[in-house]
Amino acid sequence: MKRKDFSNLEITVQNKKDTIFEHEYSIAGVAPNLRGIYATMYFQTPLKTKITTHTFSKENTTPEVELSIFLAESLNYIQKGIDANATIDNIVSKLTFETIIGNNHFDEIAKLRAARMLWSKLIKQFNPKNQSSFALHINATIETSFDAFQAISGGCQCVISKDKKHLFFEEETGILKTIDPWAGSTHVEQRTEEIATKSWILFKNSTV
Amino acid sequence: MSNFFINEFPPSSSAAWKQKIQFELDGADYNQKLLTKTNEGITISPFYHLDTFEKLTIPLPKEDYKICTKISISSEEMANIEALKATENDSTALLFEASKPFNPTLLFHNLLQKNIEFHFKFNFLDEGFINKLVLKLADETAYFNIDIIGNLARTGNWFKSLKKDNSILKNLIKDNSDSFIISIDTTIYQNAGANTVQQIAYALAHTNEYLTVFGDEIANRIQFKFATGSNYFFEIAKIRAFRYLYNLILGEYNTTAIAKIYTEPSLRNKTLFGATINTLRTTAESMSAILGGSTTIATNFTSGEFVENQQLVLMDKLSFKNAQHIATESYYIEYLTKQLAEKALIIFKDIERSGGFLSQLKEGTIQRKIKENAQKEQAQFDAGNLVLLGTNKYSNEFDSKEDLQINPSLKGTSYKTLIIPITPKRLAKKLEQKRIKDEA
Repeated sequence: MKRKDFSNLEITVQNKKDTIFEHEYSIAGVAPNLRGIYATMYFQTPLKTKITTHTFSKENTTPEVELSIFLAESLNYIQKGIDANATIDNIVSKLTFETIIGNNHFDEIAKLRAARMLWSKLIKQFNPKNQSSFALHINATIETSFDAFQAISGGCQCVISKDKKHLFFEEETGILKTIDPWAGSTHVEQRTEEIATKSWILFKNSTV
Repeated sequence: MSNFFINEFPPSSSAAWKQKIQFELDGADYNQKLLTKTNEGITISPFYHLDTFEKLTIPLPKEDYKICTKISISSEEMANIEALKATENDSTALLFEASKPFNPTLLFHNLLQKNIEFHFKFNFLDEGFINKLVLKLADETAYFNIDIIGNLARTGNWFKSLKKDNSILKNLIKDNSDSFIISIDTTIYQNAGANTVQQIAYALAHTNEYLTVFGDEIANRIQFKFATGSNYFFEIAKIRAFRYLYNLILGEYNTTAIAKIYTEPSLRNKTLFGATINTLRTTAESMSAILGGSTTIATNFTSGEFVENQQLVLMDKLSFKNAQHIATESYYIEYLTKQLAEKALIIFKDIERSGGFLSQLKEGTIQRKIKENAQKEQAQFDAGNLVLLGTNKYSNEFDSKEDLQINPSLKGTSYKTLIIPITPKRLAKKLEQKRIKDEA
């Protein structure tokens, strides 16, 4: 057969998503802080690693329950601080999200993304002066090296681990070259929305 | 989740975000500090945004992926025992590697009609034997993986001769018109150090040599073999971009296909020292293969204790459904997919314009291009910009429990060749040899 002529072949690009979740406009659209993550964070402040000798066991809880408890505890702490005349910026600078990472890869990524969205929603009510108060600092404790993968992909600032093997993900995979690399993925955005919505409802119900 | 955020946060744009970032950078140069330029000539931004979204429509397989165990046949009985064991450990596919014809009745004892996918890697070409095997496996899903061009690229020689190889392949395709006879083995391009764009372009050009001879009839009867390295998102995008371009090219043959893609981890980045990291490498590589939409994934190693552990890790980590759809509409992966496809298409067109893949292989152009990129990567590794843990960084901090599956030198015996063969090159090799010498 004669060789085909491919010289006019072109790719066809589509510039509209087929599925857009409402929060994509805001978390992608608003200030980077709403993602709770500095766009520059891994470039200016490298991801931290802490080695620990503790052994942990992951409590058998859902991401939704975990986040609702985190929000309720944060609110409680903030209110005590305000009662004691501290500023919101000062109070939240001392708060971090301490979480143990499970092995459901995409649910854990969605959990960390939802945590940052909900944190900024919570903090907004107190009108902080510092933009950085919207950014949630996440310390992720991992049980196996592989769990660092979801922790980093979800955008934690610190990995707490028993050994250094998880450095593989930082050093060799290129996954820190851009922040929030799974943003837009229909599956991940859907799980993020589900987890955020349920967590907020649980949180609201627990504080009335 | 109506108005969950919109009420509190006004919408904005990537321009506004960039402005914020520049504020955070406090005078440092955005382009210099935050953009990453890759060997493929692709620029990675620190963030991706809905308002710059672009994607290609990727033809994806409907079925979930299979997990494959590789088995080398030294004796049929032993291989059969290994195969049965692998299927008990949840392997849903088996790859048999053979250096000479074998007895199918012995090998497939108790393995047939169990919904297992069979793959083959033959280091020989024997028409009569393959015809018999096709007959034996008539009711099974089987991939015979004959790739005379891949064999030429890898070994430097035809199995028999240009004429004989071609006529055997023609007969096999004619006589077994429902079977997957041909494969395009692109693993050698990755293992030898070609960059992502080159790998896609060479895969296409390699494929088009067969399409030029056999036409649209074989479009749905080819299996593609890829190797994935640990450049995670690029590897996901690589397989997606290939799927897209394969169909684009098939358009010229007035047909379409959802490619069957078998993927295994790369050899290029595996190390002897800090070999414990190899498990993480392989797992991440298999994961990118799955998310890229491979139809079958395999660990790179032949059976043994190491592999059993590996399989267990994989089964535990990678048991997601509909994995081929997860990357869909991710801003970053869709961006990479488009970039890779665009750039690979340019190289593919160049190769076609200059007479095709075989002609460039005979001239040594493909080999030279791969070597150029491999040397660039080697220099990056030597300078410590491309890291392999336990080897050029934290060199004594990881367990080096010997990974017997790695052939330290990846070197064959020397023999006379028709063209320069494309050979696997491990990045860590030189440093390891020096260290072994120093420690001796």
